[in-house]
Amino acid sequence: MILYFNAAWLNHPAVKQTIIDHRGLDTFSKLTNLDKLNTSHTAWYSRTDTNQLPFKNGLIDVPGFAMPKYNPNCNLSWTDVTDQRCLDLRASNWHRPWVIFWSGGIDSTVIVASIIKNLPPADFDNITIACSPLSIWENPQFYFDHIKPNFKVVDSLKLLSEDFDSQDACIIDGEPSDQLFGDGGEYLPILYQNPELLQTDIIKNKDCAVDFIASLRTDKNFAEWYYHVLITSAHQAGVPIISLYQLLWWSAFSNAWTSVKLRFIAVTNGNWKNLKDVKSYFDKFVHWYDSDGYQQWAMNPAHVGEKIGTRVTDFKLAPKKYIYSVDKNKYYFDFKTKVGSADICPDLRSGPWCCIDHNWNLLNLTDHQDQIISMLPDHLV
Amino acid sequence: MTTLKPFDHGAPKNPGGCHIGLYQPILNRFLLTVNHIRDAQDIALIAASRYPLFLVNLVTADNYNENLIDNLCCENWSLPNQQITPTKLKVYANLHTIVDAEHLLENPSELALSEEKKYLQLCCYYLRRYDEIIQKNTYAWEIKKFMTEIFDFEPHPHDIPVQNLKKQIVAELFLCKDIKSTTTSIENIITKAKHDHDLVL
Repeated sequence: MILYFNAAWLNHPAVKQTIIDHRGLDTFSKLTNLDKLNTSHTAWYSRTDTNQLPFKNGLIDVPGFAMPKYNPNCNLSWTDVTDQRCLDLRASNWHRPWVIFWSGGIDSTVIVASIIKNLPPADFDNITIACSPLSIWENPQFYFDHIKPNFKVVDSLKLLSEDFDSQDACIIDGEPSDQLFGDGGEYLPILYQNPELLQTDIIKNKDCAVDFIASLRTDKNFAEWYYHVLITSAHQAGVPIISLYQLLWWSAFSNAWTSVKLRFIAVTNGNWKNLKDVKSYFDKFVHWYDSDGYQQWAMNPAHVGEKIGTRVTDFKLAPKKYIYSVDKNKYYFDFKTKVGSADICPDLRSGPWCCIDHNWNLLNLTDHQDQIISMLPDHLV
Repeated sequence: MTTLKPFDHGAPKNPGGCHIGLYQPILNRFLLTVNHIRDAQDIALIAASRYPLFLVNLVTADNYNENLIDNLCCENWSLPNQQITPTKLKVYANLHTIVDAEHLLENPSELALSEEKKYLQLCCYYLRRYDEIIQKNTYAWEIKKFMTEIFDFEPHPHDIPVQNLKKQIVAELFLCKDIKSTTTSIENIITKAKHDHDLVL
């Protein structure tokens, strides 16, 4: 059984033909259009009970992939959930040393800022920061003022060249923060250059949303269908969606979360030496932002302003405020904008793996084509 | 207008010469202009510790002339909205991308940018000062640099101190929090290098 299929391989002749033979051209068209929404993702899987997307969401009940039930009475602030996340992980994952992947960007800087704020300095001995010269270039003041004096530092590229099985650490990264804030992708600069679009009521003005989705290299029929998928699934989950930004956020939060949970494999497969299967990855990795607290924060419509603000430098405003409370770096606060690793390291999806099976094995079309093609029809809704 | 010290007008040395603006897209302002691409690239790399700067070819603007924009007034000039798109942050690490200005918009600044202009002038000044020091103290420096980049030549022991001087100066500029103390630190570094290694300044 297939749990996850990498959309980078949709146009492989045998894959394409199998999908068309079993579900028709319309299903294949939906899959390829979904793939165009944000090409840094490897697939789109619904996290809601009523799945309307073309692939079955067999991962929905697996911890780390499930979406918590929305609680409109949860009013925790970003600071509350971040401080709590740090203390929870300290309580549950302290039996191994921590290795934190720090890119210099907002997501991973919040992690280190939270540790500095919430843990006693004696705990820092158990923590190593993995980073590269690019990370330091992205946020040098934080590195020289807060990381270098307090933590052991290793070169992240060197770490990836070591045997994965030899890692006896709890490895922490900044996923899936983008999904809490709505992905970023290519649409954000467009929204900030047309600020009225950010707040457009897309229930009253459906055509605006459909046209916007179609403008993301998809076609109009797909945009109509996907608009209804999003509105219906948000309604069933009880999550309020009014503005165009909220609609696009919901797309990322509900349907791209699964892809981002697996992004590290897409990025490092073949690079992290001897990473054998997905299970061993999940045994060692902790995604900092994968907690009920963060997800409840993200679903609360009162936090839209703290997610996106009004200017491009306001994106991820709440985490930027959190970092500023620790480092007081006004340049980082005033000028830092989202620069995803996908922007600096192109073609993240180019790894050879095509799908993940029910035993968490990574299968590829060179060695496992017959197996993949025989399982694929059952993976389609 | 009070000029900042050190100060370089950043205008082309000759008519038709190179004129690059260092543009900050969030402020939508030019913060510095220079007349060498290499200067522009080096300064953008150093100032990235504060904010991204994009290299803009000013000469291509339809209203450009050599007296239109220099470092006395560059903060009062912007790019039209449609020109901001090529400077999106997705490409900010690519310093070989030089955006051709289509039009320059006069847009008097109400922001207090003198500290930032002073910082960028400081970067410009010490990069050039270092160039002067290395030219005076390293025989055929450009050829040696070229050959070292291509082949694995070990630098001559005599050349190492002056090469290390650049590391120290740029590190001070990169991590600058206070212009006055950074200036003092760099001057101390240069004085010490002169004393320890008999450099000609």
